[in-house]
Amino acid sequence: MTAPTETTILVVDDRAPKRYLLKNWLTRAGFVVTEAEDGHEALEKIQQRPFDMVVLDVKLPDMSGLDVCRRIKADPGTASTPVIHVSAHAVDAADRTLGLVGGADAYLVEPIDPHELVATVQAVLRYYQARRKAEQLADGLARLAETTLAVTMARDFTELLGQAAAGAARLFGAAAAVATETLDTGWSVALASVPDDVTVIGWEPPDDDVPIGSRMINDQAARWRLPAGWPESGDITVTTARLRADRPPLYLFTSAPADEDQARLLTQLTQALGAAAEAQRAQDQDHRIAVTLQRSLLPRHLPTVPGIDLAVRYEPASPQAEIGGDFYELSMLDDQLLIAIGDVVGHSLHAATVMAEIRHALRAYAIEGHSPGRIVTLIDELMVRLLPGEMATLCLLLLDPRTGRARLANAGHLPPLLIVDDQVSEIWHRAPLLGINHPRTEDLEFVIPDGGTLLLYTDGLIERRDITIRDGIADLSRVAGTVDADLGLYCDRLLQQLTNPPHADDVAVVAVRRL
Amino acid sequence: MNRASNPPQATHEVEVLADRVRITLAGEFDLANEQALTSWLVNAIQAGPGRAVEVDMQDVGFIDSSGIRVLLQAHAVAAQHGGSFRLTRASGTVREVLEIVAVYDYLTTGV
Repeated sequence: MTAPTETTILVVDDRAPKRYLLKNWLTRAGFVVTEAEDGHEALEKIQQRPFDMVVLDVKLPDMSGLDVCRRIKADPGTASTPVIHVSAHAVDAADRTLGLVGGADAYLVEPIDPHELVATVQAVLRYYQARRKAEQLADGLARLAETTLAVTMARDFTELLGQAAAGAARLFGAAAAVATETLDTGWSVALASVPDDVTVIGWEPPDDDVPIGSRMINDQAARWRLPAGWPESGDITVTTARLRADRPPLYLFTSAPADEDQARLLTQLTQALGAAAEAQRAQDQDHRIAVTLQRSLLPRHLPTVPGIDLAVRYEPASPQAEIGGDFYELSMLDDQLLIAIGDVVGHSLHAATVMAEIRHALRAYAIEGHSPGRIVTLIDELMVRLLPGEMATLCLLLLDPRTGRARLANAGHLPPLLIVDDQVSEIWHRAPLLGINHPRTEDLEFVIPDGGTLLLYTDGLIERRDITIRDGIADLSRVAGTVDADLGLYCDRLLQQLTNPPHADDVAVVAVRRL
Repeated sequence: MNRASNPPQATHEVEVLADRVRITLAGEFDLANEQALTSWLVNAIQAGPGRAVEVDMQDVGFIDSSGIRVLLQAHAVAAQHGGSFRLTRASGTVREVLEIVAVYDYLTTGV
């Protein structure tokens, strides 16, 4: 944002008295004049620094003024510099036409009237300034659109604030900062000292009340406690957008806008950023509600079982992915430990509610004293009747903690692993997933010996597109073979070694060890 | 809304033959193109009501549980229309995942 400065004009004429006159008239009219004696000097000077205008004699000793004009107009760096031709000779309409066709913006013929010269210069400058302003505005609007798109596509608040600050810095060609309150990390500010150098850190807003709508104020920079890297200069322009009284505002910090157009752009940008931040906040809120709900549908406490060590981990899918329908169940029924893990097909709040229905049904059927296979069959029938179209995988077993005898029914779920003395075996029991009411095989009976650990998990732990499921299970077997003394640490280690946040899918892990 | 991932690439081709309808799938199938897969299969079933529907899986490189659910639902829709539905030439990861959820036999025998 640069303040308007003096208007500079390059006067090109080989005759000293003529240059003196032109300079004298233009200087008196308030312009700053630089002189050049011939075409080469003129082209050299215009390459060194920009001029707001060139007043160019048509007949120069080294080259034609028409050629000098053509070169100025052909170079993209100087093409937008206006040129006024002056001619000492009696010229006809054809000559003047040639000059104008060559790119000149006006053509004056001697004897030149000083008032006409100044008026012509001002008229041409007016036109160029209007054109430059229109170009700047178009450029600004294009960048505004780019920044709006970038912040709308941001995946989280850090990216959103970073894109916003970088976009504002690009738009106004100076340092910019953007701050708002995020759902997870509180108030944060992104500072772009230049567009490619953005830092995002915590920030504390002042107590001032921010009005609904948008507002632009000028203030002392120090009062806003911006991070180190904000230019030291004293003044700052603070533009705010606030959508509702119960919503936090968004602040955009810049240097003062150069003109009305910049001020309008600043307001538009802040409003667009405020709307994008609100959308991000709503998305984060939805995800938080969904995760809270899903967690509330899972067991709140693990049972205390003599002779048995239990650990459970549940990692929700990242905020960028929809929540999934993974679930587990651990509860004591008389003298039997009910262990179950499952996954409802699909990702959504709906999948989580289906998960809750299945979990409650399985507890109810288990309390009635049915065998694992019978419980699975009953849930399958219930789903076909009451939850048509829904499908789920489920692995369910009843374990006698004293003897280690286990009875297992699987319904399309991944095989549990049994780890005994560092040896891993996969417990396969093939039967169709729930939801299609297809005949099942007999339950599988096996024993978890003293010191043996049973590991159940969902596909989030092993599924990657670049490997087959068999390879995924083999990878898990390798790291699961050594069971840590602390079963919770064991689960943490498996998650850490086998998954990479952000999780595209949710992950549930259940570990059961007989002491 | 999942803005982070791009939808997987998947295509289909339908041939209505005298005695059956063959639909050839190619690409990857998951939650992102679940609806497209549903409409492809249902349209193919309705293109030849009562005819046997064969789904050629040879060029399918990946399918997740959402895709399997669509196959199972299509199987049910075909039965309602009085026709059979079966997968052919499923191999590799696709066959493996169908076997793990134990619906490979169910979906390939055309009952």
